[in-house]
Amino acid sequence: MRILPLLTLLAVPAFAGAELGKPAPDFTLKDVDGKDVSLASFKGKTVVLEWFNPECPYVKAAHTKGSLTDSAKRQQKKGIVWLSINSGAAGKQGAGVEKSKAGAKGFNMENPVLVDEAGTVGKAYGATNTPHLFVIDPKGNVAYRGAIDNSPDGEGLSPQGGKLINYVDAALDDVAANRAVKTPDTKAYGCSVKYAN
Amino acid sequence: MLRQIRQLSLVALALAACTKDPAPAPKAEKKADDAPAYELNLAASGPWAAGQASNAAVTVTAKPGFHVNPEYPVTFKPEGSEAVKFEGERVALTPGTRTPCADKAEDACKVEFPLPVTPEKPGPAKVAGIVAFSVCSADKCLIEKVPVTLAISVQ
Repeated sequence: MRILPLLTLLAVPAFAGAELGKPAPDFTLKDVDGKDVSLASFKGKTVVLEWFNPECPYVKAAHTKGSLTDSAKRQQKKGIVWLSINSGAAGKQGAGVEKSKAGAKGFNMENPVLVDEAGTVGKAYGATNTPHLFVIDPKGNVAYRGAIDNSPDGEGLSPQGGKLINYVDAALDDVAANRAVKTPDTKAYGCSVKYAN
Repeated sequence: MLRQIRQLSLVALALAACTKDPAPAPKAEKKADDAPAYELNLAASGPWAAGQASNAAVTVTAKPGFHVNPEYPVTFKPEGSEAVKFEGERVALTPGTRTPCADKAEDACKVEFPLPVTPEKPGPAKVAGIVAFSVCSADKCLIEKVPVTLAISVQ
């Protein structure tokens, strides 16, 4: 009888997560056009990973009214690589190539959207929410992980403390200036990532 | 013959019931995937006195399978109010009384949010605005912005 709880614990998938200051877990995923995209291929560049679910209302709000409206385009102009990743399992809300493609078009996104239906990459990073963001510095280390901003409505209308702070913009500024990221770790808000289990 | 007339009358009554406009719902209620996800209510017990702040109550009730999302910043945006004042253009609502869900006590299925209101003058007044809130199920979250209105009588 005592074995059962132990077995239950062993059956829980590992959510180790990407550690701050440590090498970001490498991955290769297909984008919505079927092209392989590998994190290792961006070595020497700053990379932003954005966990994405086009049907999550927080993602919709952030991409149409909030801090994600033009973040990727602005940062890409500065040479930052921005990758959106959909780790929703087949059949779950917003999951799959077609929904990702439609969402990217609807939100006018120009950055690659990668599909991780097995959830392997999402779990390797410890992505729990959509949106959930990670900044990887040019050395390949995790420099920031957490929310896009401090307004957990996704729209930027309810900033905690009264002033809207885009944590990702701030982290990217710190990385570009080669200084320690002032706020490297925040709690992501939004929908849960729709993993298979 | 009498039986046929009676059957026809029943059919006519049934058709009339189907085509008749439904009575206006007293509370806002949203249906998602054919199942109601929440009920929203604005109420106040009073009494209301001019110049004195008192609380109305915004209540979000999640329907079976959903719970009130505790991480979403619930707000009230005044819109169409008459003869009352609020604490700003967008009022952040702090959760008050919380009723746990029957199937999962750590989740709340009903949360009451006090809404501070200050009537400006004696007579009829109206509390009206948009409540932004969120309810979630295991499969999805909904973010809703629902208009509410309440007539009050100020002494």
